Amino acid sequence: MAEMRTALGMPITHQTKTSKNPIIQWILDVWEGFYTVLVGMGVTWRHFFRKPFTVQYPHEKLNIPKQARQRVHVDIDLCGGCLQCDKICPAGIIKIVTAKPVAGEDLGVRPNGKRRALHIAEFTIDHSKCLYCGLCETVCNDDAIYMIPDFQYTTRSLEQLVVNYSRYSPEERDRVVAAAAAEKAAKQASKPAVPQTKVSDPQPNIPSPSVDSDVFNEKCPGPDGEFK
Amino acid sequence: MPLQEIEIPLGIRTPNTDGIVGEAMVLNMGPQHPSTHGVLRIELHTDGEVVFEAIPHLGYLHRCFEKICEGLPYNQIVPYTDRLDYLASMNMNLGYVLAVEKLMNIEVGERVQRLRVVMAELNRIASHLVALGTFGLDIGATTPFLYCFRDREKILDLFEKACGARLLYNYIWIGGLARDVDENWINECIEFLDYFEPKIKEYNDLLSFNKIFIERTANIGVLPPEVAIAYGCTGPTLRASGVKWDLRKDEPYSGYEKYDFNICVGEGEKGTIGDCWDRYWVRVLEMVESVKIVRQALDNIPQEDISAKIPKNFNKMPVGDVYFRTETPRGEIGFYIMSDGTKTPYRIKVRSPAFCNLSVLPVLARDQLIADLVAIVGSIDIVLGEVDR
Amino acid sequence: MSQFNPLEAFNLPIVYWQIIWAGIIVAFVTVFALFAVYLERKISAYAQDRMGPMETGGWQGWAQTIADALKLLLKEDIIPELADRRLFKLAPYIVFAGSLGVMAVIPFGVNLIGTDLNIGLYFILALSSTVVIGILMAGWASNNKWALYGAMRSAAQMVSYEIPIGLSLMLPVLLTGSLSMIDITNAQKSGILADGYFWNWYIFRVPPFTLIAFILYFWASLAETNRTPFDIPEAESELVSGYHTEYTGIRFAMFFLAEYANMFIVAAIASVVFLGGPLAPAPWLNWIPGPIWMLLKSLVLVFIQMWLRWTLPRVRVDQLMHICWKIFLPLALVNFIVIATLVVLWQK
Repeated sequence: MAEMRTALGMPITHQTKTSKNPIIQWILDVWEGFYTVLVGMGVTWRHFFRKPFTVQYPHEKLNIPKQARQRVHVDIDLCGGCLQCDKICPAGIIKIVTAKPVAGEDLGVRPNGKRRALHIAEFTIDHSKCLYCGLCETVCNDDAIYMIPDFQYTTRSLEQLVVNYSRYSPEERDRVVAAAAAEKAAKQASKPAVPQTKVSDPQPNIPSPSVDSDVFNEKCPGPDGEFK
Repeated sequence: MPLQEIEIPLGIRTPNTDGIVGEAMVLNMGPQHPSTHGVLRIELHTDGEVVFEAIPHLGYLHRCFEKICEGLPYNQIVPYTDRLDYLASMNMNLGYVLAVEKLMNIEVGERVQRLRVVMAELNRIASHLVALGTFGLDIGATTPFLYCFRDREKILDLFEKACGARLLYNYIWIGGLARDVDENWINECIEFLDYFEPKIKEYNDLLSFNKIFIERTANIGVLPPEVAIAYGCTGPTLRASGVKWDLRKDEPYSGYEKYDFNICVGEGEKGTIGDCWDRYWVRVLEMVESVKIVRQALDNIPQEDISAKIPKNFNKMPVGDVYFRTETPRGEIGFYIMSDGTKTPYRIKVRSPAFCNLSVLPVLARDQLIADLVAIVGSIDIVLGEVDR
Repeated sequence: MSQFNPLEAFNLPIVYWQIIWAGIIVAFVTVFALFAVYLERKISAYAQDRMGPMETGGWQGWAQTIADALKLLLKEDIIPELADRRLFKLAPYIVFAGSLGVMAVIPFGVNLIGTDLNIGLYFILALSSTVVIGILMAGWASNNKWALYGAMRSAAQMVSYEIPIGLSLMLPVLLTGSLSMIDITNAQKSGILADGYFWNWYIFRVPPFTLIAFILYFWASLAETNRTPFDIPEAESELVSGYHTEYTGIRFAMFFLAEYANMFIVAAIASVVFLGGPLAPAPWLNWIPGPIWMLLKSLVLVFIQMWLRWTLPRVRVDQLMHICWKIFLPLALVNFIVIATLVVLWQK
């Protein structure tokens, strides 16, 4: 312990110097006060000439590592609609509405090679309630939901932080959900009968994205991106 | 020892001295006061500058942690434990995770254990740096605060590289870790330790051995060991009173028994054992010990799969209850978990160190000056997120 | 250049000159306060590995304090409902006037002075004591307990520290034999060895006693101006903001201005009384005008005040009294007695 204390700059004895004589003790105290003030001033003096530790934030930015968890992002094309992220989210901020395609409708193939089995009719994340725990990222089998190091997404109202990542507009969502429900109902009604009698007209499955907030566009600005 | 015996003799209980009938002035310190470390409110009954009664009022940051946990599966509680003591989230994660692992009988591997120790000790350094800095701020020294935060920033950078978050990590998971670290990170960590060790001398020159600082803190708020034990104080607050009690040594968990480090206790070097300066100094010494532990834990760290033991689901939990306590920067955190076999705990109770340490404040604050009360609150280093939960 | 006499140069009646000088002083103090706040921010920033204001106005954020001053002037003027309105409004002016009045007798050049009172130093001590009345008024009128604490502390502190300040300043008075600031300045021109050099300044005149007196004065003046380590009247970690907790807008700005004006004033007194004021440190530097030397010396002392503030913790209220009565006062007394004896012996 003793070596450590000397290394830390601490005198090993109780005080630097003590004396029985009160007047000498008084002088020692005054001197200790004066001396330690000078030592402290020496420390700050050396710091006057050091390079500042801080950076001028909007002009220069620190490198944020790629794995930083600053915002949830959804790559909706990859999403298979398994609802795992919805289930794991401790704050319950993810709302996913899926609908089965009606018979004969082919939703194509996802970029990762897997078949798209469901309409992702709605994929809403309320960013204002996010805990940034990253659990959703770890359960996703398709790497569709992940955390990105984009921290500049301030909005003027809380509503703007509720973002729908789905490519379906609300009308289309209602339509595919209704179609799926109707087919299910029809299937149940005509259980003994031959299924798949009802054929609905195929729809183009890539409508315009319904993400209207500029901040949440598909492209992540990244650590050295400019603030939009 | 029964409580009555250790009752501190009271000086001025009412401001009625020498026939002059005075009136107690009730001062409301907080929750917006600059030096209550968050949203603590202290009701002060004062006679001039002398506080003869200080009553802490809590609950301004109550977020129903224990109740929320009853509705969440075990693995989803980990992010919520981050929010208990937001200055030492890794230690909070570790305490909860070890409790659940004890319930589920999971034995994690060597690498996971070591990385957990590294993270917990780094976070202990970061937390003590905040304690040091804010204590200096309470005493009136602004500059050490900035220096401490500068060095803490480097630890946060390390955490960000390891797990992606700077404050609320969710890194230590039941049965493993969220992410593994690479060789590069380990080198950066050692680089940081080399950078950090000489910095401690700088804090000492600037603050610890400054005569004014010593005069302000030595012999102030003396907490005798019996009182500390009777009130359930733990951590540096207890050790500063001269009690050698550290769970890392006394009930080793997560492989702490393998490391060589000292329990730092207050020795009353500048005043009485258990005064504010001792509580401050124990934290400085513990940072040095933590650096030692991190170096040992990173030395020849084995390679293995850190996520091998992470349970897939929590549908078949053992029925029963479990209590596990670990040493956080503020003291002993205990997680009591009751399991009824479902995937959500039946009940979670947290024994939070800062809450118990704060409970001793009325004893310490009796007959002190207001300026000393500020020093005492700073020296017991509370985090209101953990006090109120 | 240092012999420049405005009265002779412009052939003005003395009253006109005094009015002009008053205007110059008010303008100077305001500009100095803005500059000092900026300086303080930069010094604190560099001491703490930061950069300080960098944005407002472009280069190094030079316009930051001007913008802050404008902001303070435009802020709503709030007077607490239960405050004593008359006292509350009056207090900042008393504090400000008390600080500013001292400037009248501070020489910026050998002849550049508002009025050369023959009781100059006494006038300074007397006038700076009135500041405490304003602070007490502010604390009491705010009807806020924290403000009251700050005011009480401030009163005790300022009254106590008058004594070591007074005793320390008496040394140069003893050596000069005059209270006039001009006389004190001129007396530092010659003395031991060659004339016109810095070793004739009172700080080096009777070592080590005058040096100790200077250090004592400097430390005690920190208490007089409520600066760290003696900033207990406004200790933000204890008393929120002390006596000006309830003040906003322009009234707060007055307190702020007074604080920074005070910083300059105590530094100016120290430089006149101990550091030769407008005198150059060597004869071959006489081509630099006196006011510049005066400003330079004062600014160095102001810098040290700031440097100390960003280094030291704050003492406690009883320790403050302890330092005053048990350390500064005995030292100042011993100093005073020794110098008085020496002066008497020397005159014989």
